[in-house]
Amino acid sequence: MTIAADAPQSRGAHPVYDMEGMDHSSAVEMEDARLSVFPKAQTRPVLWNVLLAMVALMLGGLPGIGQALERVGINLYNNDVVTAVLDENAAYYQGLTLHGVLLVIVFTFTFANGFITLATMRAYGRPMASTLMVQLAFALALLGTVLAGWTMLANEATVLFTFYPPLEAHTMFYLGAVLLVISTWVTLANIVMTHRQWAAANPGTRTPLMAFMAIMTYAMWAMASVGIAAEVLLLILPWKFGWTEGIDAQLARTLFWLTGHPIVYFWLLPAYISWYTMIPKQAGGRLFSDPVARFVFILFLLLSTPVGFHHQYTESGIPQWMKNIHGIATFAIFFPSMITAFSVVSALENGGRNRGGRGLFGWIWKLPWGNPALTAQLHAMLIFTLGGASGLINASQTVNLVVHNTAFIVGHFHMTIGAVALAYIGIAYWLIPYLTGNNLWGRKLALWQSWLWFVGMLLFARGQISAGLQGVPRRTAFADSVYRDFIDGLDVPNMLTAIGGSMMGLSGLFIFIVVVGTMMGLAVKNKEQLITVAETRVGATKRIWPWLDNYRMWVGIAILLVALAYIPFLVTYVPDGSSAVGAPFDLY
Amino acid sequence: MEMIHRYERFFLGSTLVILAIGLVAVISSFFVNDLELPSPVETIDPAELASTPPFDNPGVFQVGENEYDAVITAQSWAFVPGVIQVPAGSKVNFKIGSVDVVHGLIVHGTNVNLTIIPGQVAEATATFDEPGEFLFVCSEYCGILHHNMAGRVIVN
Repeated sequence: MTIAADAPQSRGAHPVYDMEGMDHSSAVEMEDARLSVFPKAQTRPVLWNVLLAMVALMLGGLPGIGQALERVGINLYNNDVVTAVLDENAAYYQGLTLHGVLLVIVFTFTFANGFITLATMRAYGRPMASTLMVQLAFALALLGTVLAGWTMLANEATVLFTFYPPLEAHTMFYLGAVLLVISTWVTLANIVMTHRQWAAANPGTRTPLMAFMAIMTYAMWAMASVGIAAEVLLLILPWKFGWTEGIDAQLARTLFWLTGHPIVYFWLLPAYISWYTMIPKQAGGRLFSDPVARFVFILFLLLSTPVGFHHQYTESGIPQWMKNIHGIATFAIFFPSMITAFSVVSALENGGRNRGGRGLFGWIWKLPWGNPALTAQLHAMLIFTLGGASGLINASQTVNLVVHNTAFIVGHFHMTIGAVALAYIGIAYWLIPYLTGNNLWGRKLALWQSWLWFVGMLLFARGQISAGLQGVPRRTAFADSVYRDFIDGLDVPNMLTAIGGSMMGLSGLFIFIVVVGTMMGLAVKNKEQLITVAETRVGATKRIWPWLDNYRMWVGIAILLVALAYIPFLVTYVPDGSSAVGAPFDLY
Repeated sequence: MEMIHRYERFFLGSTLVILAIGLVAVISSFFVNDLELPSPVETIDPAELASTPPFDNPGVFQVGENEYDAVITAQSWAFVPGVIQVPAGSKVNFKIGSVDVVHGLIVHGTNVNLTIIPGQVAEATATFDEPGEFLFVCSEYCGILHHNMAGRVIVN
């Protein structure tokens, strides 16, 4: 092996890793992945999905500004304009429910469905197997959004996005959630059908990396979402309809968190697909290794789900030894993200050096920071690094006793989902131009948007983390609380939260302006654009670790691991009726 | 042919070491600080909780020289009792159950952090060495006045 640069400027001390003689055969053969090669009937629903995601981001973001300002005593929830829309008594929690459901379910699901559908077409170089299913997935998501949105706006579902029974929401709220989940299952089925068609036409060819990742992401999610489906269909709806006398709150929560942790990876993995397969080329470099990237996604398939109890450390219905198993598995799931950190940063370094960067850190400044699509995703990576690290704190059982259900957790997950959201926005900055043929309008504004989000998110999260360590509970209308003056040391954290939240609000306004301007075609029309797909240094042929592509084996092992993690609880936890709650509680 | 570059191997090896150190630290912290996670106690029908001992008579009860049981019921939107008085140096066993929806209990200045699930009795223990007032709050959303659900431990 010799180490050489892609471009001739590398120096011995900080070599670019290149492996001459390695296989560079990854899928770039489809250079003309112009929009017009795909059927309009399929790419239009992709655009609709992306636009629905943007609408959810805007509407879901608004209550967030109110929550951040509430920390410094600016209560927008008393405002006449707000109470004209939201219930005057429940406004804070109604807004919080909208914030959660619209951002972590509607925004993420619709964006993933759209983006991954397109990535699948691009990877295989062929349309999806079923046009009807592309359209159906969008229609189901839209209907689910309308149903859930309507019940939330009507104050009939002020139960937060976790909807823990025996809090009770309108039946249509649960139905809306189910339809949104089903839209992802339809997308998976279509991806699998497309894979089969492609495999039949290309025997003996390795699945393109991007398509492999799409399959793994959706397979993981389909397996994981069985928990929430069982919770709603087997426990909540029969209880709502009066078919069962009560509902077991502990069992329902356990099923919720069977899905509730892997849902984070369902948000994250589409961003990882972009970071692995598109970002390297956008930055001017190549991906480090194809087989290692496949291995990472397999680890996510295997380890995302058998970890749910780490959200339940403080619940007394689950024995400690079971929590220990999930706790150790949670440490393991950190590993593939660390491989990702290496692979993505090495591809960025490769890009930066190809663009003339020198020295240990010189390559960083040579990255195309003027490109909003890339800048937003670079910021997202930096935020997510901290989000992941703080997640390891939460997963540490004894430390969890200090931070569980405090604002610390809010700080943590805003650096995970908030990073994913920024990554999606970055993707949208090339995806919307690609899908519409319009150039991105307001590039400067888009760059400001990314920086504002980046700094704002970190300030916000820092404020929430400090407040949590002072004992402020999460999901609480703090300024209205009876104890707001009895917790010390909150002046600075609350100020950071409010400033950070306001910066993100402004950032959201910029997204709105940029997306609307782009959709209206305010920028000059461009020639048809391409979807960039990175080359890899260690290649993508069957020769290297062919067992990686054994889908049945991996899904089988994944199901086995989930069974091992959950069966001990499910068979020993016998709801004898004594722990069931008799009647629904209506507390809003 | 080398599948994994030596830089990558070094990075991944370091990650494994960091994770192993973290795991050992977490496990040792259980023993060093004598901690345990909330574990199954008993199940009681929430509708029957208020008439089932000990929850039919919530309050603070001395059970040892410096040891007290604080028997608490959680309901929307109050803890009963809302004030717990003990002398300095007391060990307090919190025993708590919910009569309606899911609540939470975080006692400031301690490691007490419980999710109170209807049907499940929850227990945790803390020692209050210094005199003072310690806030406890509901930490799980339980309806529109969730933010008013709180109480105090007064240590004399």
